[in-house]
Amino acid sequence: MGEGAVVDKGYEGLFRRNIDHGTFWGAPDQLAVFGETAYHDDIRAILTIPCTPHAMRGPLGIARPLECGSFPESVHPPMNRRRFIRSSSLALSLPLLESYRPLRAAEGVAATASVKRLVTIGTYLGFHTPSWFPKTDGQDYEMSPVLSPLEDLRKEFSIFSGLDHRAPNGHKNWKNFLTGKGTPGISFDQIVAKQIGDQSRFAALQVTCGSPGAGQMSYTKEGIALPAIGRPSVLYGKLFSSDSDKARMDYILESNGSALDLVLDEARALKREVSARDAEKLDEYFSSVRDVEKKVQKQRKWLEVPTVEVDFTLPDYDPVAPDLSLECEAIMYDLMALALETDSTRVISLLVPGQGAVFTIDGEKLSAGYHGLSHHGNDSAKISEFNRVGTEHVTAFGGFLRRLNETKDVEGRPILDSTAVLYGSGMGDANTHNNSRLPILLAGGGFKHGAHHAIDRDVETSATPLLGDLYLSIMQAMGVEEERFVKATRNMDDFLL
Amino acid sequence: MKKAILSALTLLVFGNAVARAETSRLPEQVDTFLVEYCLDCHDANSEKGDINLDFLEIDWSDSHATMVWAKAWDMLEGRDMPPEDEKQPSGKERAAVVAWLEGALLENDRPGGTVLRRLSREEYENSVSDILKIRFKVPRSFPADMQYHGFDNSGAGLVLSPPLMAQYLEIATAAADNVLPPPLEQRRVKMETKSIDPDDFTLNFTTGHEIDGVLRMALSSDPLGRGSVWPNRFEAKVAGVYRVKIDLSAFKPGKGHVPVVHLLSRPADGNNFASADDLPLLAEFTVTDDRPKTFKADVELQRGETIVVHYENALLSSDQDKERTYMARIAEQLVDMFRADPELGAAWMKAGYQRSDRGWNWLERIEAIREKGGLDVDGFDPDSPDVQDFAMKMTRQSVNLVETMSCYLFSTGPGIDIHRLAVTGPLRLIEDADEVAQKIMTDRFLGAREGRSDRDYAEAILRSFLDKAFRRPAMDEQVSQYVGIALKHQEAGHRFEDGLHLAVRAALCSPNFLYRGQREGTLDDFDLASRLSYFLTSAPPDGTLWRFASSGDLSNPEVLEAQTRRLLKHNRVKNFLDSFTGQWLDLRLLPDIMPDTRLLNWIDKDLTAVTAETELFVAEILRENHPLKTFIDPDFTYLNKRNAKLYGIEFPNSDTMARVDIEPGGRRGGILTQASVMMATANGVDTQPVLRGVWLLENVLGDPVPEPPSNIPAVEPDTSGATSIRELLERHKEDPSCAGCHLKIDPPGFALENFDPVGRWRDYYPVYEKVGEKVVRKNGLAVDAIGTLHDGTELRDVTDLKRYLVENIDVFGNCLAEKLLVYATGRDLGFGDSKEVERIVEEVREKGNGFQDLIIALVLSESFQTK
Repeated sequence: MGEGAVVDKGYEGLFRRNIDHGTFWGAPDQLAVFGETAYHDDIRAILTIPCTPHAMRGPLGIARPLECGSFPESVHPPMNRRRFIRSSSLALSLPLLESYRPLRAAEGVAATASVKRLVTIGTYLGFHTPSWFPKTDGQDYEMSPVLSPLEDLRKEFSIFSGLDHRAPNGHKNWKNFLTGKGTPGISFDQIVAKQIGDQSRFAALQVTCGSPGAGQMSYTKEGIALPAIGRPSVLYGKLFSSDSDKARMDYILESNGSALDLVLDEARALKREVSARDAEKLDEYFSSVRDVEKKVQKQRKWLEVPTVEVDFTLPDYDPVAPDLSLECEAIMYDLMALALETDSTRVISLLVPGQGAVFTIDGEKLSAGYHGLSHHGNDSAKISEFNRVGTEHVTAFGGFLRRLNETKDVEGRPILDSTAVLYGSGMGDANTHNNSRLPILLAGGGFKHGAHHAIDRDVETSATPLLGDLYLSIMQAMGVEEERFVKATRNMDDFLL
Repeated sequence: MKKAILSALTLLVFGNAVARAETSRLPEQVDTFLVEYCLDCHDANSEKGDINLDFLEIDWSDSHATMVWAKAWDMLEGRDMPPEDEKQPSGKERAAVVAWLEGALLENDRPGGTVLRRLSREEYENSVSDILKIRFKVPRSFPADMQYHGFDNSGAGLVLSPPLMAQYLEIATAAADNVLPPPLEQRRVKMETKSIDPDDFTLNFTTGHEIDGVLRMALSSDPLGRGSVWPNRFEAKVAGVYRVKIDLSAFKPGKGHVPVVHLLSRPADGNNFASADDLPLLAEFTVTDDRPKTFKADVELQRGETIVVHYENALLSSDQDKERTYMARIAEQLVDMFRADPELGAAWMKAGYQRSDRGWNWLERIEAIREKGGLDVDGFDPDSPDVQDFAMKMTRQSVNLVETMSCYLFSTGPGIDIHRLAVTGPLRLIEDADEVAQKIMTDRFLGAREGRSDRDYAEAILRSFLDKAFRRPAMDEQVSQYVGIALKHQEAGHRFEDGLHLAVRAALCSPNFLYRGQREGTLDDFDLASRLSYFLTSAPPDGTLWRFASSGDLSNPEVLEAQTRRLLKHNRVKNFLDSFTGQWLDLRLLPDIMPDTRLLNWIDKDLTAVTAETELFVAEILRENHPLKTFIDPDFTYLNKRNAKLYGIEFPNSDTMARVDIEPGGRRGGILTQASVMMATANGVDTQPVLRGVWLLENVLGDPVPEPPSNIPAVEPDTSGATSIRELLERHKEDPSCAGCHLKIDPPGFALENFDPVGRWRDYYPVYEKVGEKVVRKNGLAVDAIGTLHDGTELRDVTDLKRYLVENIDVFGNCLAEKLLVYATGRDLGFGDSKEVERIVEEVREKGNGFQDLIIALVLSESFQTK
């Protein structure tokens, strides 16, 4: 074995560790050396999280929160780890300036269904659907037990029963939740991200709670599952980069200037030697480099924008152990809300994992692991415990909705009104793990809400909506001109507008 | 029209700069012929098919015009023009014009003409990996390359745009960070003690049970999530040595059993499905006492790792043994439990297994039965066949059973009790595994300094790096420029490494790195090395090619042939197979096709199987140098149970692809029949002979047809099954403007009609009828695959098409050779190139027509060796 073998081994270890720490942004089979790069054109790369070995320490060479490099006194980082994003008095309004249209607001023109943000949330093990779906439909439906924590918000969302993608069953096909099919394909949140991703720093964020287990929710066009961030400290670090991140970025941008000068010289020398056709081809190079030079100037300007304090404290450990995933979930909702409020991203997907861990709820350990409870076999004791977990999920979700509903944008509208929040699961009946009749709830987004829509799935006519039709309505409201989503070709505007 | 404008523009700007800025005046005979037979349709006014021949001379500096005249030659030579219903020239008239055009084209449209080729995405990844000696992938947001002339590596298609340049610049930083990381921040982590109580552990399923203030463990199943526990709020904040103190006692170990506890390390957010056997062992403790005893160990943990407590020799385990005796073993343990507690046995047998029985709720059901009483305990004989059978039957639910037995053992033992765990640290720091890996990469890039000055050291590093980056020896002036910016950066107050970092960033954005093929005319040895290497490995030249290029021997045909043979055996030839086959046979389209669920339930594994078949098939033809006819009519293929099922072939129940002999000449075998190709040429729902016909003409028969006029709707099958596709197409052909192409397109397309959209054989089209609630598939119209090729060959079905191609193998040979040459050179082939291909195809056929031989002959050709 030569040197290569040793190195490869080191690399593998490194690769694995990277994945474990959520700093990798390529799919596991695509060792990305570089991080997420989908930013607003002008600030592209500001918050890049490279995946280079040194960068495993965090964005741009800064020690990962975990590592405590910047915590001189104690190992309780949060107190010392307040990050600054923009200037304090402007805290939440500044990022929303883009949407500030005083004239229109004065004229009282409501921008109905102009949805700007999309949040998709899926619980891997689904729910006990008889306890999830309301027994009655229409506006005056009776709230179901599992959804009861959302009672005060009932005007803010719609419940759908009987929707699915007519896709295959089983754990492995859970992924059809957002992709609409069992085989690889793009998930609908990523279609939206492609359309509006350039409007914010991160085109999209994928989040989970600790280790996602076998679950995967967001997929690229090539059918590659997007890795989700499971560590709160990593998501936090990604969202709120520190001053030293900026210093490094500024250094790179500045020194890139001399690199570009050098290569432009080279290109000029080359142009004199090549044929006329090749010289024409090289013009692409010149104009591209010039464009990039301009962009660098803008990027450096952005770095001068003053920063503000975000008042948020992480626990001194990352709750990534599977039995702490409910705890992790609550923190992730807070960080997701912060990400939306600061306009760091407009598309978020959250996969709520479901593994075999035994949860402790209200100080009481449940009698079996979460996955075991989901195969409840219609045993009432197990269903009741399974519903306790489900209710926990819904409670945490309710907190998120309430926060979005209470936070106002500059037009005085709740952020929720311009944020479509899809909540549900790729699992229909958790007990048999089938993927039909999915539990689906849509909140916010300026749609008409307040009802339970019971779709009779057994009446298979061309007018029977599929879950994809709901996605089409959401996409169309966001200005995505999709007329087809896998098998769905209509939309559900009749229910929502 | 667009093309014409574009070429006019080219002419305007560069017309006088092009080397072959010559024109040929049309002889009067040719001019008269054009006026008589061609210009009615192909003058500047009509310009049918975007072809205008109304010129008095041919301007060879205009590549579009050259292409048009080559096309005209092709049409006249093949008697495709003038159309049948127009006035026809005499044979003599035609021959004279064909001969003059051929001569003029041969003289003026010489092989060559590739425009600068930017590295494709894949080539870029491989190039950065090779020159920095790292493993490198671009981020997902990296723009994809366009396909042009069927491939994504053509010079004209590889455009450089501002967003891509921005990516290059950004990635250059990340790539340079790999080998020259910024300085580490100093770490200051205080030593601390973390005390972990019994209720601070992660419990999965029944891995542990809190009872009487201890955490009890009774089993050691794999994976980790089924048999181990670990603290849920502890992980090492830094790589270091940590002191572990754990208070353990044995719980009713019973005679002869001495519990052994292993401490293992795992990433805190790692995979729960990992096996305990795969994790590093930190410490082993033998727990002999039933009173708590403190065990200590100093263990090494990497950043982010936590400590797993594993009951190594627990009697109970559901690990899968290779011999699959674990079921018997568990059954035996269950019977042992019954022997010790016959009442339990009697109650359990009465309880049996019910759905949802698992862990505590199963045990509670059993205990309830026991409490009710009335069991025949005396009559319970653990050694009776009934009990033995019962125990074996229970093991069908092995996971649930083991969990339930574990719950029972929590009160009877044997088990271990964890009273407390305390971790103190770091006592001292250790090398971070990530940093060690990093240092290896840095050292490999820099090489030893050996006492050299900064300038000498920088020059040595950068010269070697630039040689590789530019794929030819860097000129002294170039090296000094790069050394210059590196040292200047250092002088400005940065580290030596930062200066190199800057130079590396610059080189990765240099046109000399991003573009290959800069020198006109015959390739020199270094450009030849690059063209060969990117052709067969999608990567820059390796050390051997570099040496032969340096010595100037690579262009020696014998050396070049030997090097080509070497690369064809290299494992990197997989890059060629993936990329070329994926694009030539359109395998890259497959993941986007979702077959109609009424046809079949299609899963990822089916996709893998049909793709693998073609990949393995083409790989073998290359590896074994099989003759070209093997592509069409082989005596083997690769199957697993999935594509075997599609083909209706008996096959063992296995997902492993196996080489299978098949009968030549039949309905199966070869690219005209493989499910992958049949899928790629359909849409997952129905088949369209026109699409498959066009595909065959382009990719197999080498006679591509122009795009259809935009105002003509596609002929789509009548899904009600009332009208046959043939009837629909016949109507289409009544229009003479359609007939020209459709006479060529339809017959080969129809020959494949027996293959449904997923490549299964069918004799009837399906129709779907609703019977009650269900949709039922029934036979509709019979498939009619009959047709007559352009040259009069009658086809009954695909087997006749295969026979035709085997008998006229040069038709396929020419097509494949052109595809290979387009892929290798990154240009659309000109007249000279095409003539060269014809010559090569004949030559190779005479020598046995091997696929490798064809590739070698192409590499040795003037076309390949000319820019």
